[in-house]
Amino acid sequence: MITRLTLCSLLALGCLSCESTSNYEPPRAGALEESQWRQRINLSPDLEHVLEIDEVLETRQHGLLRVQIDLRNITAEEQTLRTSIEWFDVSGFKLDSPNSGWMSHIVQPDEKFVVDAGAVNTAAVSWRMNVNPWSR
Amino acid sequence: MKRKLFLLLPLLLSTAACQSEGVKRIDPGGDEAVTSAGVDFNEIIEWTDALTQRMLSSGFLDTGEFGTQPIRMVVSDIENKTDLSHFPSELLLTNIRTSLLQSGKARWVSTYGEDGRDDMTRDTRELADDPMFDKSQVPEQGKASVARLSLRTQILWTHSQGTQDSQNTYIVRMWVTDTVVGEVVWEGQSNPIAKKFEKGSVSW
Repeated sequence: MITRLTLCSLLALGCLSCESTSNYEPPRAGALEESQWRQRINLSPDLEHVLEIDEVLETRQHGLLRVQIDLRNITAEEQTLRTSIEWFDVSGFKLDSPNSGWMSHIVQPDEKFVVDAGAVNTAAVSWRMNVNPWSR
Repeated sequence: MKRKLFLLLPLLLSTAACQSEGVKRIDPGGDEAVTSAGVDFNEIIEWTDALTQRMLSSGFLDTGEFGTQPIRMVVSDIENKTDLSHFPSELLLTNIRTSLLQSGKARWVSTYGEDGRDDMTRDTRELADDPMFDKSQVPEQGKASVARLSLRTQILWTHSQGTQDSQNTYIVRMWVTDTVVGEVVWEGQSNPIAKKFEKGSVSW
């Protein structure tokens, strides 16, 4: 009787732990901590209650730094905005990059969208993203 | 007194008009930039950023299949299949060329091709026939590079008409050919740019 009870208890405990691990999503490889990306994303004050940043991934692909920022429109309205990414070398100097232009986005209510950019200069070791509202 | 003020009024009004905006410098991609029914400057920049990103992230330049980096490339035909008679293809290509060059993965041939040509390589060799020049400084014949990869471009367009509105949609299609075997090794396209306007509101 005691043995059965012990076994059942152990089984119940095992099931509980299975349930908790099934909800656990480990961070993706290359995911930055919020403390790392918070200072790299320059969000216009007008967008602070409009956009939420879900995740930031950083990796080096074919020798070039690549970054992906997952965002979400947390409003009930379509939003138009633009983003640009600047690249910096190991000394913190901004690299002259032809692909630092503004990219426009039209985002539907509650829509998740991705900003995906890659440096073209192998000297790039860090980045900064600017996000502004845009009306065209 | 009132009569004098009345007579001065047109002068005051015209002075105020002269002080209104004439030419003003603006952010080319900002909110004040003109939005046309065609493709605007900032949209071309968006296209080039996206296409460059797709080319570099695909990895076709890193396979080793086309020799050591930087791989020699040439710009092939640029085909404008849109309603825009003066599409600035050089603007489209310059960012892509600059980006690939900066990446160290490609280098552009300038002796032939449809963009970025410079006849100075050929002209320099002709100096060997001119007795004014020191022949020992003239590069030998047979040294100019031949491109392994060729970049071809098409700018495509569709037009839709509703009862009150019309829409233009533009897209850039690019492909890279291995000139040794004549096979496409990369192909991609930009995100579409769509413009909607009232019928009759746009004139070229």
